[in-house]
Amino acid sequence: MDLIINSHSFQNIRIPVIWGERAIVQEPNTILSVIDIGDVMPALEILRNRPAPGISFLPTRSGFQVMRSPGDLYQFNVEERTFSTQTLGLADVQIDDFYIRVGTQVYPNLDGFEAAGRLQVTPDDVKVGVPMPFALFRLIDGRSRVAQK
Amino acid sequence: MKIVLNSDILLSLKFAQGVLAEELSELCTLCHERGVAIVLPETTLLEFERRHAEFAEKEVSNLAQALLLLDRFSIAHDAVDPQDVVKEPNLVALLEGTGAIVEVVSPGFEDFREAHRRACKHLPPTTEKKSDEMRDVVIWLVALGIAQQSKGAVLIARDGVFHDARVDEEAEAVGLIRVGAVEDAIDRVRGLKPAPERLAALLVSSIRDDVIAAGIHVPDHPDRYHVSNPVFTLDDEGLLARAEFRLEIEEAGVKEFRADLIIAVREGTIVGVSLTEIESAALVFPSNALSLTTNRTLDLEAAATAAGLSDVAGFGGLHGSDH
Repeated sequence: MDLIINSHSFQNIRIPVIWGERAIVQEPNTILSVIDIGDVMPALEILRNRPAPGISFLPTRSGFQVMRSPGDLYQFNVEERTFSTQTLGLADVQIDDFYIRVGTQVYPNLDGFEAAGRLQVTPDDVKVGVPMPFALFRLIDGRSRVAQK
Repeated sequence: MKIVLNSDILLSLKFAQGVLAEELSELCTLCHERGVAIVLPETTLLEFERRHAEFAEKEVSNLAQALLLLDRFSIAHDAVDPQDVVKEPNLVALLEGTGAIVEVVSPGFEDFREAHRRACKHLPPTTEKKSDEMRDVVIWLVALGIAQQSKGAVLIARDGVFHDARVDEEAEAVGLIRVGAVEDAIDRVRGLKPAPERLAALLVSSIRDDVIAAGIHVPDHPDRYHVSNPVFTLDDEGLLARAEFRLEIEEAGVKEFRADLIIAVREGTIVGVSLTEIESAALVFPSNALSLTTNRTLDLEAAATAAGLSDVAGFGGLHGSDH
């Protein structure tokens, strides 16, 4: 599946986790991006393991914090591929080559199981096998959408 | 001072590979160099062991299935017993492997009694929502005890219950500092301000002459002024475009100057500085605002190195782009 947002094109991606209002986009080699799908217009917040252009952030030793006035939204540890937050009320998520850790729970992260296995993390629980959010479906490159059928 | 670990900073999947996460390894090595002990409340250790035993069981099952799949397609492989291959991590041994002194501290009877009382009465740091409140309270009480005995301690915990304002007073009374990330603990042990503040201070050093030319006295060393609330933004090329923060200058304990700064950067050169919300003891600025045009080349790599951020992908990219 391919996806295009803000002139940035992503090929052969998977979206293994919807973390609150954010879609975690995984490219081959577990390079990660994040799209905020909470607003009408989806916004790229992390672009291939780095802060996306125009996004306020705070560099840290191991990655960066994505900021929104007046405070931090979440932290991304690039080395550990871990997203954590003290303000969004969500369990931290770690994306491994083989596993996805949500808080203390571990789920498989395997190609071919995507449709059945996409996780949705909310402040209250974790759902398994959720469909693609509509906001993201609009971003999928038409050619790859046809190819999927 | 001692470092107390909560179990929620020990969830990394890397443990299953028998290695410490990089920043935890750095903290332990630093503690070894500085003679600072790492304390594992027994509750933390037991939780760690339970979680990783569950995970190891899953790994054994996955490996067994993978071997069956190889057999099904007659693909040759060595004889493997998944139980022998998958090992549960030994947390104490991993931490001690860095040279750090590790102490496992068991809660005492009084800790249990107090935890029981707080849990039943929903007293902080418990909450009505959480089901594992007794474990949290036991770790909290052990951390308080360690801080009291050691003249201060740093508790590293992500869980919001440990950062609840209702326990601020209790923590301050015994010198217990709470941080939400291992890297914050590293800065505490080093006695440094957070890295982004150090970076912002270095940016001020770069434009110091321009600011002085505008009539504002800026001390020559970053340690002599204070920056807070820094935020950075990249441009479309992945280069630093903007830094915002509050600058405060004190002289002999008196706040001489305070302003919100925006530093604009274009292709590695600081091109402008905007100061707003200016408060100055000695100078008067129309509209409390000032704009400066500058042309200062910024050596971001050197600044990042000085701020301890050079190897960080999120920041290392500021001086070059591979987007």
